[in-house]
Amino acid sequence: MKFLRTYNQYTDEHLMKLICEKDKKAFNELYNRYAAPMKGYFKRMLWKDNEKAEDFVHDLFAKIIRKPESFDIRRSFKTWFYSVANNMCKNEYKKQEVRKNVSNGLDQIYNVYDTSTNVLNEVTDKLFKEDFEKSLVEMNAKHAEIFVLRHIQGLSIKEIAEVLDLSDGTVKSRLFYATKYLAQLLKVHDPILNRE
Amino acid sequence: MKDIFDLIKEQNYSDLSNEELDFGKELFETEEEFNDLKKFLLKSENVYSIEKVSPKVKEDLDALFTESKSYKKIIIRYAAIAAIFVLGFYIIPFDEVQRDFSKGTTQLADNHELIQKEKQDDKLDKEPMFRSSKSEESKLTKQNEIKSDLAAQEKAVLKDDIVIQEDEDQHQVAIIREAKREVNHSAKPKQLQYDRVEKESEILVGSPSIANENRSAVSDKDGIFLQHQSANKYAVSLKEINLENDECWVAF
Repeated sequence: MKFLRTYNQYTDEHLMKLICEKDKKAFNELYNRYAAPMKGYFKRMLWKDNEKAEDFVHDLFAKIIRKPESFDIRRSFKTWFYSVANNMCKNEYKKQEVRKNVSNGLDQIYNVYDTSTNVLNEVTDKLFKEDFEKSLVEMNAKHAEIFVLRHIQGLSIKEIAEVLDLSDGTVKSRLFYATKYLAQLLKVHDPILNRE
Repeated sequence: MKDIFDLIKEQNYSDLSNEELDFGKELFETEEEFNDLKKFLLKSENVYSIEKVSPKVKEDLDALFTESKSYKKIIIRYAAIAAIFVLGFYIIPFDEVQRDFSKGTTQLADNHELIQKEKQDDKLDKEPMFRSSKSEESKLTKQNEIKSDLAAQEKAVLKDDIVIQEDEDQHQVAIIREAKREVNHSAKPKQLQYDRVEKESEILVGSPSIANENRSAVSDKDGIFLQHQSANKYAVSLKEINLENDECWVAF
């Protein structure tokens, strides 16, 4: 039936099955679906570091090429893929933590934002975005990752629970907290919000 | 499946049912809070433009894909060769090949006598007691094990007798007798249950001291045997009876 359908009609899981058979077109399709969202995810999770995000996208897809059979086709590809990506981020956090400790706090890797921006003078979408990202970074990582997965990456609560290996209830409560916290924090941008 | 956040983004406060309002109670209590949340969610959803991934990433991945594909091809090729080799090993009748090979090189297969001898040797090999050594005997301790061994011996002896009668080749008869001697030799372990007989002279055909309702003495050209009739299998050559202090012990 493969020849009767175009690759964009296949499910992620079916594409993975074809990748196991070394189907290049299946890989291309999966890449087209996930490369950009995954870069966005990595970028948000890895301190807006564009280069690092691209490296991580490369490594993530390289895992699929090297060991496609590590994915269990009975599972949801999306949640599996985000789990792998999430674990990569956690490993990176650990690495950075070690580096930070070794450099005795002199490493400024976390300070990637320009805090000198005059929030009061610039009422733009850009400002909102910067503030929003800053708030995300400052927020507890446990809450931030759930917020990103739900509201930016578009995963459902159930999928997030699967990705992070948490209960639905925990995800829901963290998500409610994070959403309320950020909405409250960014209320200063009401004029921007109200402009719509 | 839609959740409360989808409802907030898609509907107006006035459109929400009581159940939905109750469900969203943790997030908003008033219409104003609902609207603030709605605006925030819509804004944060659109705050990020679609990320563009550098074409270099895709190029590298394409190269990796091609590499892994060719690597897999090599593995498959080697696996196929190995599979053919293994299958060939099981399909080709190596016995015949070896025999043909021997025939072609040494001409030994033409010797009918040797083939027959080989067959006889194979038969003997199949009977484990024929190959038991003295050191192995000492390890036998359980009476029932030995009894079953004796039964196996008798089977072997009877079988061999048929072979002897059928075979006219004296050389092969000698081989069989040699084997029988081995059997009888191994058939006198000390752990056996013994029936005591006072003197060797008492062990005669039909002797009352050793013959009863369960066993009797029989003789043939190879000697005198004590046969256990209930089992109808046990036979011990009296030639191998252990003589100690003029007493004769017959092993069963």
